[in-house]
Amino acid sequence: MNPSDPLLWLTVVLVAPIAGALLPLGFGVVGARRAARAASVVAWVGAAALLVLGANAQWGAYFGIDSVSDLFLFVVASIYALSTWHSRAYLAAIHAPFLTSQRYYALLGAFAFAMLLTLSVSDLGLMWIGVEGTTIASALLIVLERRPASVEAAWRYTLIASAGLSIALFALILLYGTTGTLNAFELAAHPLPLTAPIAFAVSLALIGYGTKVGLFPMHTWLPDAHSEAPSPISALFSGVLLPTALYAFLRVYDVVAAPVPATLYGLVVVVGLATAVVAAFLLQRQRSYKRLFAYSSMEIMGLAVVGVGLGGIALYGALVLVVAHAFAKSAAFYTSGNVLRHTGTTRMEEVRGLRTRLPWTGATWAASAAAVTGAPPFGTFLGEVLILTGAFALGQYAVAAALVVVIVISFIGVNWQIGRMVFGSEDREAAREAEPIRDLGIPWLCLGVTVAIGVASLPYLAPAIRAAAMSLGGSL
Amino acid sequence: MDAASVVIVVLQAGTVLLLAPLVAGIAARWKAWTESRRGPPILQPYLDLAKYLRKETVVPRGASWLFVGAPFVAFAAYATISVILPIVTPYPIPVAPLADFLGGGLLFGLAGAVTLLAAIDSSSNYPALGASRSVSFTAFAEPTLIVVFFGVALITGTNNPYTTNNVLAASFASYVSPTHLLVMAAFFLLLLFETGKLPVESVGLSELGMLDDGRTFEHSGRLLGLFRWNSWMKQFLLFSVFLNVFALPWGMLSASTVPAALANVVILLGKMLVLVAVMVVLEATLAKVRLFKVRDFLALSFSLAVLAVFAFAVLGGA
Amino acid sequence: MDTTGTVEGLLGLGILLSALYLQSESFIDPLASGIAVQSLLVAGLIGWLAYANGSLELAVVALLVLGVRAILIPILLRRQIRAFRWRARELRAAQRVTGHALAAVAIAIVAWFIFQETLAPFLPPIPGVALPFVLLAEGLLMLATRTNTLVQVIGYLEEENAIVYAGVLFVVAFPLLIETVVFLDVLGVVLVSIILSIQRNVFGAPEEEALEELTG
Repeated sequence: MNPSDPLLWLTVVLVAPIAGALLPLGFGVVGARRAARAASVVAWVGAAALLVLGANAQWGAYFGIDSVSDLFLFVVASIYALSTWHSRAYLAAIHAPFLTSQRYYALLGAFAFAMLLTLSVSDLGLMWIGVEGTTIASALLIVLERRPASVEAAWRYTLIASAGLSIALFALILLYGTTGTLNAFELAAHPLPLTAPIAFAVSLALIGYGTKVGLFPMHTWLPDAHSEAPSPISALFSGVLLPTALYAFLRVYDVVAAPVPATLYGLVVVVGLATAVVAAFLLQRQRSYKRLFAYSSMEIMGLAVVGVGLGGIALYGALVLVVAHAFAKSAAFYTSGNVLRHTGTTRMEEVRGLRTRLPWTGATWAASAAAVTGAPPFGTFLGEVLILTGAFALGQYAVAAALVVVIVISFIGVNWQIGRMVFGSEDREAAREAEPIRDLGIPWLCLGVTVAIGVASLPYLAPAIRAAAMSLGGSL
Repeated sequence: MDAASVVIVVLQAGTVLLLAPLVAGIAARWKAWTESRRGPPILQPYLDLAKYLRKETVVPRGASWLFVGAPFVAFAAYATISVILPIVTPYPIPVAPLADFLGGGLLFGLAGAVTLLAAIDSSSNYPALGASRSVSFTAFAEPTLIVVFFGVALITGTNNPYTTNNVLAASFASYVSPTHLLVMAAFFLLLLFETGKLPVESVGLSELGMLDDGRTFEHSGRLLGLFRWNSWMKQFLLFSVFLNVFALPWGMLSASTVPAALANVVILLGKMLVLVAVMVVLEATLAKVRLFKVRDFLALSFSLAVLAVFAFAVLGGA
Repeated sequence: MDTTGTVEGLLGLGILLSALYLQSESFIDPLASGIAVQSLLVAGLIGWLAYANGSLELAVVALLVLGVRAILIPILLRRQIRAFRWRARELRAAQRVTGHALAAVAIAIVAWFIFQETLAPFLPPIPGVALPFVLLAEGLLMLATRTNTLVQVIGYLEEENAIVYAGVLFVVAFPLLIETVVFLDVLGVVLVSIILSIQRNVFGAPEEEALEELTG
């Protein structure tokens, strides 16, 4: 047992959620919770070890990780652990006969396992199976409450996501038919010129995995699933499921040789931009705050895809944005769960005056809303700035202008609506209610991590801006 | 043109003119059996024809020459078609090059068009209603026919019905090629529509669902007799195209002698009895679809015809 | 024309026709039979290829497709409509047969053109090589245009069939083919049995409804 052996830690990362899925079924409510929490922490430790080691290795034909996988594995394991720990608050308040703690934790573990599997395999076919597995586990999690709206949302989600993933599988079949291998690392090591079947396969993969990322126009399932899922699950959806699907697309996109032809990266940028624009405008007229956050996630994913398309410093920005957003959006959804428990409604016009009724919750919520929309101290801000810098560096001024408009519109939209609920006053003065401060610890932890990501990435900002300025014709 | 050829041409035209009522009579008789009736004698259509020809002809006031001329034009069109199709010979008879498939289709169209015009010319409400009704469906049937011809042309490289017959009879691979099977299916559906069979149309004295006969309410006597005869000939011609060109291209004697042609008449009659039996079974088992569903029926036929052309491109014909 | 070409051509024709039928039929019960027939044809095609190539893996895939998609899933689908088997119908589709049939034909032609322009030069010129792509488009069309949830399941199954079809036609043996086939089927079974039965319990009937909560 060599503690610097990545295989050991990868095994831990993959086995722990399986244990987290199976163990709760054998215990009572308390035992199930403890087992799930323990498993999630073990998985997080494993993922953190991989990140620290900077593991870059392959095992056999099917498993392999590099630094990108390490990063995503760490984020997924973190949000998995946070959601597991936060689930107690949700489960204590919900009373649905079909939803038991055991089933809930088991499905949560299965959901996390599917995502971690997706991130730790090198075979694109197995990666596809992992993504498809997330659909099954998460759809069942949505359906657990058995309310008409959640059943309907689960149905739409499963159908649209599966249909999209069929297209992704079709793309993989084409890719294999052309290249003769599906090993992501092998393909990335010998990138291919962009022939027609490769371009076709990558475009199909963009549509297919894009469905799961929530890209326009295949995004219709996203707000339904996010708003109907339990809040800890919404955090997993928004924070890590969408990036996991994006990761699967990135692996396919990697197949194309380095200077990606303008036709292909142009397509990716246009799709990303369209997603961001559509989401930024749709979130203005939402009536439910969970749907509001769902559209905000869609907008962030659009920005990230633009970053992927532009490449270079923008791609770096996309990664910063996605990672910081995962924690920020988790904080937002956890707090939304607390708000929902106290107000009993997800409709925004019925929630007012949180500042007086639930001061701590309101403050957390307002901070989370600022974090998800990219306010300065948070990592999301840095990610957005880096993407913008990348767009300028490439001379894509139209894209940059559109990005600025999108970011500003969604910033105003989300913060104005959340602000009205927190600071807006009710007709009659509401009394201050008892709020469990304990439930706010995890959201504040998330926000702290988001800030830390911003601070940690800061040193990279200056060189990036310098590079952008150089490419614009400046000199230093 | 030698004497044998002349005899064969006359024989072919005569076969269509004279045997068409017989096939209709057999069909009526067999259909009656499925309904537990004894049914009219097989020769009833001939008796009807004789009766119509003896009756007085009444022409509505205000009707023009079109009303009187239409049955004759249509009759001439069908008579012309009868000598251009492979009916008693698998090889082209001397007058066959008059027209190919497309020309035959146009002649069918001419007959239908003058019948419609005569219906409108009668300045009576009922035939006009029948005309508009039938034309609103024929509009969907015509494109199918054209696409069917395209499909045939793809398989054989020509629009000649004789060549089609020879190619299909000679090559089994061509016969089971997707294009041919689809063309055959589309044409069969079209056949049901054009000859007024269930599930599209049911013909009878108290029927309001009829399409074809709705156009001839105002005609009487000889004119009506001619229309009846026309519709029997149309059925006979379409049956022979379906049988000799698409479905059962085999078994025709290719010797260019009169006895061989006579034998071919008997063979054709045998094939036609099989087809009539199939039609009778269909009529006994299917219910009539609602009037507006006829469009769906024709859309299906059209889809099959288009898929036939499509299948040639995708699956490869032979 | 060689025997393989004829067999592949005829089975492909059957699959194409079944797609047209599925798109234009409105009753659920015959639709379940329709997807069973389509799966049977796909299984037959894979079985034929397994026989022609002497491949055991393909034979297993053929058996899986046959067992799960041609037999098990249609049975599960029928169980969903047990109480109202002969009335279960998507009414909106019943009024749009012409439109649906013509749309199916049009989408097939469009898909074929796309295929012809992009992929055809890179794939082996066997008869029907475009069909998996066409079938995928037909499945997507069905998902997009039909509102009854059971019909949508059938559209999804059609897509699955397209995937397997592509897997055996584009490449002789797609790696992990058996695994993905099994996985798709498991997903199909999970979809059909769990979510649908919950949906039936909650809503009463498997018809998509517009919920106020899910708008925007």
